[in-house]
Amino acid sequence: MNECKITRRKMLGLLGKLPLTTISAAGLLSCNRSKENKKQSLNNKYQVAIISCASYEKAELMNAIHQGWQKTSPPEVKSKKVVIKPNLVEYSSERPINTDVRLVEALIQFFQELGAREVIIAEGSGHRRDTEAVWKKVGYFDLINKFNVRLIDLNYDNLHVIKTVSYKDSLIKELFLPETILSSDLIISVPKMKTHHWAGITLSLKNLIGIVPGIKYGWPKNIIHWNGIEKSIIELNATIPSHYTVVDGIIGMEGDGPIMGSPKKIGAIIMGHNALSVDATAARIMGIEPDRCTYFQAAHVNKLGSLKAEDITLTASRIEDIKTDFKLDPEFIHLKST
Amino acid sequence: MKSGKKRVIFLTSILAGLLPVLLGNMVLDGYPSSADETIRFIKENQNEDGGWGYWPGHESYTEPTGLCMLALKFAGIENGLMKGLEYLKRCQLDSGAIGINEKDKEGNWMSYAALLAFNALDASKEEEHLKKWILDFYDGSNDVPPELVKSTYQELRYDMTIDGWPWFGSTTSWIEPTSLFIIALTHSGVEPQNQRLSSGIKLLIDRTNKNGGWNYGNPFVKNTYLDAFPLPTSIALVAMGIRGHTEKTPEVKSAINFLEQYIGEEMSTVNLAWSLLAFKSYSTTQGKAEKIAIILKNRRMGDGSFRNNLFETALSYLALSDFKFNR
Repeated sequence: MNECKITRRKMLGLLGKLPLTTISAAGLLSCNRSKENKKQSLNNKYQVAIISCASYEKAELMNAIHQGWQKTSPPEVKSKKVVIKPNLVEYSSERPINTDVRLVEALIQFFQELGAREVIIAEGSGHRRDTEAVWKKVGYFDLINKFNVRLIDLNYDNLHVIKTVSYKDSLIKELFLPETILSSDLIISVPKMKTHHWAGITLSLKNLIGIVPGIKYGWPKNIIHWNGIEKSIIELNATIPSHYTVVDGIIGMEGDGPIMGSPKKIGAIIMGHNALSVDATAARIMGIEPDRCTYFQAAHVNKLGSLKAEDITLTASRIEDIKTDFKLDPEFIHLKST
Repeated sequence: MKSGKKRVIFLTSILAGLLPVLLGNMVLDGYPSSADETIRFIKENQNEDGGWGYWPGHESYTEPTGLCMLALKFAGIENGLMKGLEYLKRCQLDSGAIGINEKDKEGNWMSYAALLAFNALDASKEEEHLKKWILDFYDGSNDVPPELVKSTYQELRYDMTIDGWPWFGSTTSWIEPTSLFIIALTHSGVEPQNQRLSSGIKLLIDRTNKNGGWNYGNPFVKNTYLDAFPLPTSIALVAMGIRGHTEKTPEVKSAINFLEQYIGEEMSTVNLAWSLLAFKSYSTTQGKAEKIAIILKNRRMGDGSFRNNLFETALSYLALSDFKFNR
């Protein structure tokens, strides 16, 4: 992934200065999506809930999800096809690399209780073509029978070509994207709270890279790196925005993330309908200044939400009550809030 | 009585030895009826357009189509092959390239499977056209400045000037596509001294993980040695073997040692199939290959499929048979 480095550095100077070209992301995209976006921007305030949750114990998780959901102007779920997009990368018995399966399990139950027409778990792992090996180990296969849900490997889904919302000089003017994502009514992004050695931090915005299909773009999804990681994150989120985010911040990863870092106990889940505002809040909890994260800035400039504290209405816990400074990759020390 | 008994034993053993020859390739090691079911599963799940998807009823892609055609051809089944061939021909672009399916207007890694199928079906015109394209399919590293080559070596500890193959045009070369193209090109008869094949092997050796084996292609990032993965290791071992490397090559030996620790019930189906093909390639790993074959056979489902996945079913069928890639 060396090339991403030069592209990234080159892009650092360009991000935020180039207007997104207004290419339609129509096609199979649901019309409901634009309605949801309008709903999000009401009063120019983004509601984010920081909910204390000390463990992955079922009752505690369900209680936390209920609380957070009610406080954040959530989307309508009844009769909707809901896709939960966790972050599944690799397996390690010592390192909390992936979204914990118990959180996903609680969310499935929650959405089924709300009357979702269907709940699907969908991910396209970035490094390993061998999804069976990783998903079995992390317990996701057990969800199929337990909750009668489909587990879709987005790397191998039926694909449709979509024109992207992209920067003028982007390598990605169109993308093959999975049918499961394009035909969904609601995309629920459920990232792990982690540091990242190429992007500084990985949360909901970056989690969308998992929808890019490996059978077309490979493992790793190298077109993302050649295009520039930050730039690609913005383009993906502008093209296919998620509708709601639930960050697994019960145990995160610090240091050499997203794979080789160390466990970091935070004890919270962070929820909200705007991915950027949720990410910015999670970053503040991690001791990171969102303004200093290049792709957060670019997302803000391009009106994908807001990272500014004054635009975000926080509910439940306060950041100061839960703030836990994360160790960062040395290249990203400048992200630390002082 | 004694000599009569001996004669019966002698004739029985002769017959037993001849049986596989009489029945052709359909006789696999101890489970011919299961193999029939497997082939039936593949045949019954060919799409209307002539191709195969990864899953029954899903859209056709080049990789499962190529592997299903190879399995059917090897099983001596002709029915459906011409339709499959026509599908792949429709996927072939003017440049000779083949992408993931008919919708794809750019060639990519999946063309390895089409090359195997063209070769199996003696579609020599399409095979030569595709082979030429693959030999001219480079990653994007030729355009990068020397300072990036240097910094890459410092941060990632590999030499990006070595040509392999990328998954997707103008991106980086990685272990799996490089290995798959080495396998397919060699099988298709590219001369042993071909520079791209030699360079591909050089790339595999350069990207070996510290403790043996391969991951997707980054053995090191910044300050950390990364773990190898079993699947890329299995595929790369097949590629090394097909190019004549043996256990005497240190990278092969360490990769075998790495892979051995993963063999067992927890290994995924596709990985069992590739590791079986890998271990059948080396003289010291035949015993392990038998162990893998037993685990893999037990994964076969009632309908003959492996995990209901057409690509994995075709690959498992080939791995469990006496199919061999040409060297």
